[in-house]
Amino acid sequence: MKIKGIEIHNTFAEAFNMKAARIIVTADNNKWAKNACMSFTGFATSVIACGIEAGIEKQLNKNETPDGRPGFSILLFSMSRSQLEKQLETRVGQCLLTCPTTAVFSGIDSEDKIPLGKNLRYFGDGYQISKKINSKRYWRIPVMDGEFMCEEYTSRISAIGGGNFLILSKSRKSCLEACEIAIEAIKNEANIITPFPGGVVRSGSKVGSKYKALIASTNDAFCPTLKSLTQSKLPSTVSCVMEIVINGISHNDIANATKKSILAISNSKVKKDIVAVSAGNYGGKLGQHKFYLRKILK
Amino acid sequence: MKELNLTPKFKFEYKIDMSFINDFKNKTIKQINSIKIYYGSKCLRVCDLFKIKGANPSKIIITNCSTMMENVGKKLCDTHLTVHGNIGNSAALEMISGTLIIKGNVGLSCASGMRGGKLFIYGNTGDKFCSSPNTSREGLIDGNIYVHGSVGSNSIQRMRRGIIVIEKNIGDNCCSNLISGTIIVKGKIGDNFLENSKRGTIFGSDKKVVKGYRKANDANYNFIPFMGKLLELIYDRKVFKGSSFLRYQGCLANSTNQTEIFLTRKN
Repeated sequence: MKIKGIEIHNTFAEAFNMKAARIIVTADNNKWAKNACMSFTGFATSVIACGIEAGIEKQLNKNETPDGRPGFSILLFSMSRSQLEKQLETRVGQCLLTCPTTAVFSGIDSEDKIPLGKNLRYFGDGYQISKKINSKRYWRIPVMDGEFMCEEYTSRISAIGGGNFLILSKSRKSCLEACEIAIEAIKNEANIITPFPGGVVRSGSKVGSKYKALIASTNDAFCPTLKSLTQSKLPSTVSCVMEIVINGISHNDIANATKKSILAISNSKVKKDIVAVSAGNYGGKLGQHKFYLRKILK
Repeated sequence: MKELNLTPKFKFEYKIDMSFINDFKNKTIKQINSIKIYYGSKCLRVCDLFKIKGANPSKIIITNCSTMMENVGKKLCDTHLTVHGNIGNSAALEMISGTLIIKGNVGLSCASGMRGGKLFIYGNTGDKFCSSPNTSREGLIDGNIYVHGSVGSNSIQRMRRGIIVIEKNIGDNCCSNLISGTIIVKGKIGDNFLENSKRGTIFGSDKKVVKGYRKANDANYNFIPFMGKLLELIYDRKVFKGSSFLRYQGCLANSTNQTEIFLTRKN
């Protein structure tokens, strides 16, 4: 299968069941809302070592936020409930409570509640005030710029993490350019995030290693520098591979984002340098979800 | 299904305990008609006293009400009840959930021990509004209340949480022993207001409200516009008088009192 000269490999991306939460961060202006969100989503690229995967879902204008101020929605993904709870609380406490003018609200509703400001309120040292409106409780914690307002709970829902595709290119420059086009195409897409720096991963991994202590190591089959040493999956013309990882609330969200990204690349000028699009998987034995590239792009 | 419409068949001379409305749930019209209630010394059926139309027992309208009707909306649960006319004492007593709309004045002890739901009163309320009932120490435990008129004396005792919006005035000895919750009073305030309160938030425009309290600061309170926006959705109208407030906190007479008062700033 080819799309505008780009070959689509007959393979699939393998993804996993995860738990997700959405929060809405607002501030007096976009600059400080973004500062807070960048800090919150920092070091949240992979559950392997960061505890959670988090990213800015989209920018919200004044009409879309609960308190009528500019803000962003953030999606957080984790393998377990406890880790999601712990990371959410720590990050809200250290990155949002500390950031001037911010407030944080739940961005999703379900039966399964997890604490957002429930325990953070104790920072108020007895001077915190709660307000219960429409069966939701909000905490007002006195801080040096006025008050930090946060909702008591947010919700946890089932989600999918690890949807991905690989861009195989003739040069590093064009590969990066293609990645940027793909990320731009899904920048404000609802229900998905791309947790890695700028949305792009250069260190795709395989399961296992020759070193016993490691559970994952470099994906040698897609490393252009190892073409002559390993059973490479790269055509001879490929000299750079980059991966885009997409986490989403549902299978459809990830499939749509994948399709949109690949089509954006195929419609750009950089397509002449893109040899193929592939996907990362572990033989289909580990993940509960499979995203077949050709099926998605049909 | 069309809402259930109750109209008195004659002018009542004796008081009627209207709490039988709670028994309407999951009942057919035939069963509702045969519910027995006391009228004076007689035990009568509902159909002997009221003309009933409609079929939906979770949405009820009572028309031509009188002050002889007591306990309207008592322990009301998941029902939308609209009442046309003035009613008697103890309306919305220990109300649990649902909505009660009263298009008229209400008597004494309205909303005593209310636990949840929404109460809209498009008239005045008598004394002891939101007072502690016999069964509980707390006056208002939770819920949203809107009063279009004025509120009588000795009202809002030991309020635990919830939101009360009062469009006009409030009588003497009100809001005593306030534990928490939000009270918005747009009119004048009677004597001895906020006696022995602990916490809670008051929005007022009468300067009397801040008597004995320290002026706090001019810091930014993000929650005011946010709360205003949410309350507008609940009450379907603008609830705050003005958009700028002066905050007072810290009672001069009682150091443990953490009640905060927002006084409308005059432009």
